[in-house]
Amino acid sequence: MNRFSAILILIWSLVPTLGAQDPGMESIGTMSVELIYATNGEVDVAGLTTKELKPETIKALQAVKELKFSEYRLLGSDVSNILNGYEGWASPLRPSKEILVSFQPIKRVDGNRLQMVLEYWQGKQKIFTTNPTLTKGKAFYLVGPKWREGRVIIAVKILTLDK
Amino acid sequence: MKKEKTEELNVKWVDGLLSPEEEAELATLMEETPELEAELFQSRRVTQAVREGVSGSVEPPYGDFFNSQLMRKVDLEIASKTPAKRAERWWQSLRWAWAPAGALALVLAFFAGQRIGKPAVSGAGVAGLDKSAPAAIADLPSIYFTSDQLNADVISDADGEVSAIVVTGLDDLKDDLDLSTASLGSDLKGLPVSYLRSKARNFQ
Repeated sequence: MNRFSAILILIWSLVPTLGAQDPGMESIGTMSVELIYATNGEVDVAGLTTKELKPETIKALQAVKELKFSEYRLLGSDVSNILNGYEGWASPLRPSKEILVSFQPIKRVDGNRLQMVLEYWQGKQKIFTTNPTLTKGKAFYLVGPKWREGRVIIAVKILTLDK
Repeated sequence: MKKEKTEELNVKWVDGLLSPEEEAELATLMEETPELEAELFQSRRVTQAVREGVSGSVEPPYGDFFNSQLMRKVDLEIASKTPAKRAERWWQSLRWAWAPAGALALVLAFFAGQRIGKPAVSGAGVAGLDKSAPAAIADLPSIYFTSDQLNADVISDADGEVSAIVVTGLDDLKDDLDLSTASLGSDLKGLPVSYLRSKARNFQ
């Protein structure tokens, strides 16, 4: 094998690395984060631009004693990709960054369940970190701070999860 | 000295204890050392795995021993990546040759009538999701607060799965904060460095 052939082989072996992508940036699913206002008082104090929740969402909330309120309103929502190796961020109050949720997968439990690290940020400060196992299509609730006689609830749900 | 400072920042980042100044300092270090971010996420992953073995509501006994074992695991993880990094650095030394090499390869590919496709991407990269992790999971999630005044109740649903975490001790949101119109806090100043980096990564 002459020197020219050796150089050609070396060059050929380098070609695939030129287009290599960071595997951590691969999306493995999508996640929704909804910000819900819950109260036993007047719901209008939450503002005029809030939205009604779907009946099934209200039913799911009221199935848990600690989440049982007489009224609920949707304050905002965000859907983000779940990245294979990096944390993702959801800002349900877009464009405001008052409340943020970061999430990163830890391990796949099965086809529908994923253990994740969730971080709750409020006022640009990290408040807490937790590592629940989330089931696709099933909301996981973080009951947050009080606001205007009610409570702010963050509903985190895996919408899609690649097999 | 710089290495010690970097390690201190790394440990604080993993524990979520960085001050805004330290976050900025770490961001600078990440720019200088591109592989640092992957190492940090790996450290956080290992920390998480170790913490799963200890109840979230109980202070780990023999704290020093716990920390030394934790750092040992981190060191082992980092050491296991070292050969790959060396290889990476060796290839990086040939970066000057990539442009002409790529151009030549494209010409060759043209003559060979061969398409250069996207390479296969491994499911678990340096900072990738551990698909081979055991299926057994902790039933109750751990919760780590940034303030001693916070507490939480973990709520399970009828299926026995954890469905909610009720956090107590949080400061009330100010009533004049209009969450429905999101009129406040839209500026980027003071946002977490990891958030800004994440957004920058998505734009790349």
